Amino acid sequence: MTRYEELLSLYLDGDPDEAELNELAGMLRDDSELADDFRQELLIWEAWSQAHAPERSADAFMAALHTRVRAQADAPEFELSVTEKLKKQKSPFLFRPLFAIAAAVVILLSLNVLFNPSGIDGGIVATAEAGPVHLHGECVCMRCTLQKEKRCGKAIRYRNEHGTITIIRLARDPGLRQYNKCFCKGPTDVVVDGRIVEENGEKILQATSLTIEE
Amino acid sequence: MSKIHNLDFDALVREHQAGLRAFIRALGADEAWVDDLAQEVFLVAYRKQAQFDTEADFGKWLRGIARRQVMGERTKAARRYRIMHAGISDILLSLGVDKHEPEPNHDRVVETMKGCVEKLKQQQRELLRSRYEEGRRAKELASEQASTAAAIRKQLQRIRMTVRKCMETQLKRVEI
Repeated sequence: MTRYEELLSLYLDGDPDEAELNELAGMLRDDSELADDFRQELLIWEAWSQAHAPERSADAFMAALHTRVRAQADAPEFELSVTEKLKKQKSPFLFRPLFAIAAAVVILLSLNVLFNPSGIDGGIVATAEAGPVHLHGECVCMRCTLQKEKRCGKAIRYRNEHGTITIIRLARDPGLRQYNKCFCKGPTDVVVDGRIVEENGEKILQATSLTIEE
Repeated sequence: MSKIHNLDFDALVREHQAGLRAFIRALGADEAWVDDLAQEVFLVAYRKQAQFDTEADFGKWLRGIARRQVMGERTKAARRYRIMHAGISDILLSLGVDKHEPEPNHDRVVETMKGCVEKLKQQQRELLRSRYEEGRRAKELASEQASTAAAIRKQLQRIRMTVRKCMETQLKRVEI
């Protein structure tokens, strides 16, 4: 491999450091053909990624955009109503900090409702007991559906025995690939059997069977 | 979504999203943030829809917004992570608007790639799948395969070179 190819592979697949990126920038600056080749590589493999990563499909993109449009449209109205409510409260000076804290809590809780219209508490499961489970819930993606993480990750959203909506990640399993769309374009109703296990200090669900409910 | 001067915004997004995302990536955006930036471009377009001249090229208008968006990333210290490197983005931005027109035959490029990837060995196809379908980086793949990140990158780079060579032959053949 030439040095350019090494740097290109670092850029595309690795974690190049500042010096390596500066070196690549220098090469591209000095050679316009190389710069053009670099641009082609970015274009080609971006097209491939869009065509193959389910979370990057046109439908997933459209769905995420719609969510953002809705969130933006609702935001000013929401802000106004909270401001109005706060104005109406004639609070004694001493209690102002308390009201501010309370308002912040209300805003945070309401934001959760705004971005999660089903009113679901998006907390990741932490207290579930290890062992076999049988869950009725929804397939969700940590990135596409819940927008909680940068990368896609399969999870199940369900109501636990106390009635609290809970999210539990699924353990990586190549057998689940066939359901990618149900997660990324979800939520999709599902019945899952499996075991709750601990991985890196987090309780996750190792599914043994997963049935999509039509 | 509403309509832009009687144009269906949804239809416009659907038509332009793939090309716009490729365009943004080719301006040096980090792969994990390409879609985020593209959505912001569409949000700006949606907000400024009244300014759009219906006689003009919608794709070109979007690409203009995208260029400004990427340029803006360079100046926002807190958000600089959305582009890989300011110097590289500068070079890609300087290549000029014309060079950043999205591939006119985007679908054909993907189809040709599919044909070329089919010709790869099973293990190579599997590596590409892990990288692009599952979005896993070299370091992650290396730990699973008891290999090194450098070795995985080398394999991916060889695959890319093979696919690119095959594509060039295939596309030339079609042009003839």
